[in-house]
Amino acid sequence: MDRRGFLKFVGISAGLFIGSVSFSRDLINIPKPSPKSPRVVVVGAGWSGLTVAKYIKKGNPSVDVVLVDKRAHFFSCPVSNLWLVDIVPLEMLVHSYLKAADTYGYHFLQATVIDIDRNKRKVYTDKGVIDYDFLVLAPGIDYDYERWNIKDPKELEIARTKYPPAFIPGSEHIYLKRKIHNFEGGEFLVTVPPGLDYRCIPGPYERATLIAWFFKKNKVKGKVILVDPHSDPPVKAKGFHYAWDKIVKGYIDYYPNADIKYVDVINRKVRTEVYGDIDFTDGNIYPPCRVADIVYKIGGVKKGERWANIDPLKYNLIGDERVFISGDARNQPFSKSGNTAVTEAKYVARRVLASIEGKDIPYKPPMTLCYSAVDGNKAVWVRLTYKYENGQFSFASVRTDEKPSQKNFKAYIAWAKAHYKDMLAADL
Amino acid sequence: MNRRDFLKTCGLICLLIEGKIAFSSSTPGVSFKRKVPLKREDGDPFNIKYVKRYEPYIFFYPYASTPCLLVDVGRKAEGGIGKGSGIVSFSLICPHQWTFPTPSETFITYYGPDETSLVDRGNVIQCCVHMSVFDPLKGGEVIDGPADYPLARILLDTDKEGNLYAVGVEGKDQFHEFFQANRSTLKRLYGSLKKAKEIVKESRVIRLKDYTGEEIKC
Ligand SMILES: Cc1cc2nc3c(=O)[nH]c(=O)nc-3n(C[C@H](O)[C@H](O)[C@H](O)COP(=O)(O)OP(=O)(O)OC[C@H]3O[C@@H](n4cnc5c(N)ncnc54)[C@H](O)[C@@H]3O)c2cc1C
Ligand code: FES
Repeated sequence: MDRRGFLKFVGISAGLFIGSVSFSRDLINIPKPSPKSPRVVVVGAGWSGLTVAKYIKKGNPSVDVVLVDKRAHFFSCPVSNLWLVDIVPLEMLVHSYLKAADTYGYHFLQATVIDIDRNKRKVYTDKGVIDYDFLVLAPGIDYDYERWNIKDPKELEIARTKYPPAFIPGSEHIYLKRKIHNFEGGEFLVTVPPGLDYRCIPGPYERATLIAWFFKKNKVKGKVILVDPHSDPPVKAKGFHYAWDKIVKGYIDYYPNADIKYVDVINRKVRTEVYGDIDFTDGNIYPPCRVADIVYKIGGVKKGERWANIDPLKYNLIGDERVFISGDARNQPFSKSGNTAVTEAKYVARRVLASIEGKDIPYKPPMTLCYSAVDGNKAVWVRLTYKYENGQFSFASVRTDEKPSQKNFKAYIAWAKAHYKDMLAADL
Repeated sequence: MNRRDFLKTCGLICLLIEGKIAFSSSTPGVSFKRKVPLKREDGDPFNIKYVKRYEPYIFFYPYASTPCLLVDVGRKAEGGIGKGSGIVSFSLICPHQWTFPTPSETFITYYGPDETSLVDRGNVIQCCVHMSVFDPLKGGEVIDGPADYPLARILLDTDKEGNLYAVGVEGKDQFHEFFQANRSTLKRLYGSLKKAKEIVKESRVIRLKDYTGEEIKC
């Protein structure tokens, strides 16, 4: 079912209760610090939700915080490109939600949020119902295949299953890893979504470069074909070109300005205006992105748009002071990265705490710091800070080190480990 | 009279100005007080005259595993001691996500006046893990980056001979978070968390570059 069909099926008005979806209507009994404690429910235990939950609880331990995620454990998207080609072990990416909840003192509930009644302030999950005083939605992204004309249910299923994008953590990554390791020759496709509102702007370039590096290292008679609607990588272009010319030459073909019209997943062709049909043997189809379903479901997306309709400075859903939306789900034009999500989440946590007390706080924009590896031990980085003036966001500063180096690679690993320790109390 | 006796005599709201540092036991945020002599590697007292300008040194205080930076920033600095009031000390635990120098490498270090940094100037302390920059001239305040707090300041004192002492920690220290976040690394480095948490009775001062394998700068 495509998105429009899905929306027709479930309805999009706020608080609409869907009788056709089966779930428990029982209230889940979660103990509060005191009967009067306000409760904040955080949906999505990714980079944003984990940080929001931790810093609300840290900021005011008398607030009851319930973090809900459909997953049983955390799987990191950042650094996963390195794991795909065996540069880092799986233990670096996978962490327990229980350790985080135990260390930081909030509740973790493994459940899928199916609907939200904003009038009654109830979150409906497959495990039961939770009341909230304030709600933070940090559910991340979903894929928008329709924009590449992949609509037919059979084609959609092939695209999702056979060529998983691996930009939503978990099974997609595990299957992609097997594909890379089992590849025996030919063209391995990696696509880049158009625009700048897809998850992790340099992610597909880093992935393509590392797969090419892996093929070279293992003498695979194949190459990566990187099909990109942009004229050049929007960030770290020099660093990636350096790698393609000096490190993985002959193992990667770059197709810039490729305005992808359609991906024929049955006959394995990418249809573009500039290059015509590009054939591929196997691959990784990363389509355009949109906000996760639950935000559509609660009426949180304006017609024709793809991201949450929120106040750009206060993060509350327009028209609802009790619901906040953060992380990649946001509509502000920040780079959709983990670093952006966590710096923003600390501010959102403070905002929620202030709202509980009926106060306001000054705006603080997030920061983006994004490393990309270009081989087994070298990396480049870009750092972006933002400002808000005259109703618009722009960059306050742009810094970059595009010379691949080992010290950058070490900083990349340290960057990730420090985040896992902060978000998840990870033992690393 | 040593500092602790003096403070006892003065009572809680007592401002001590010795021409070296201004120190009040009622200063908000003096989180730890204990006078500990700083020593050279050979065990002799570490005299203020050994501090070479712009050279970052490391010692551990107040716990066996909590590193501190000692540096002469070459000009008058907030809370600085010594002739030019430029000798300052900070807890070298990044208040962002508790990065610290280890024997293999350090991502957080001092940049001399001729070095460049993310804020286009030298004489800063910078952490390259997420790029927080701190000002050693202004009590370790955050100049840029994601850190929410300044570096905690280590209060210094000297005796008549000029031998250096660490006497306290001022500002929001990060010790609890540091121990929580770095449990495994500390166990590996010190054998157990208990040992890492031992309060020091004296502390050796060495050049940061002699302590760590690599200073990673950005
Ligand atoms: C391959 C790759 C490489 C990347 N590299 C970097 C990098 O180097 N640096 C960087 O800064 N960023 C990087 N990113 C981007 C980063 O992963 C994202 O920006 C970040 O994860 C966004 O955080 P989030 O919390 O908004 O979403 P997520 O981390 O995706 O978390 C959303 C959570 O919500 C849960 N959820 C969704 N819907 C429901 C529901 N209905 N009920 C219950 N739970 C639900 C999901 O299970 C998920 O756990 C990379 C991403 C990828 C995929
Ligand atoms: S740990 Fe130092 S800036 Fe993040």
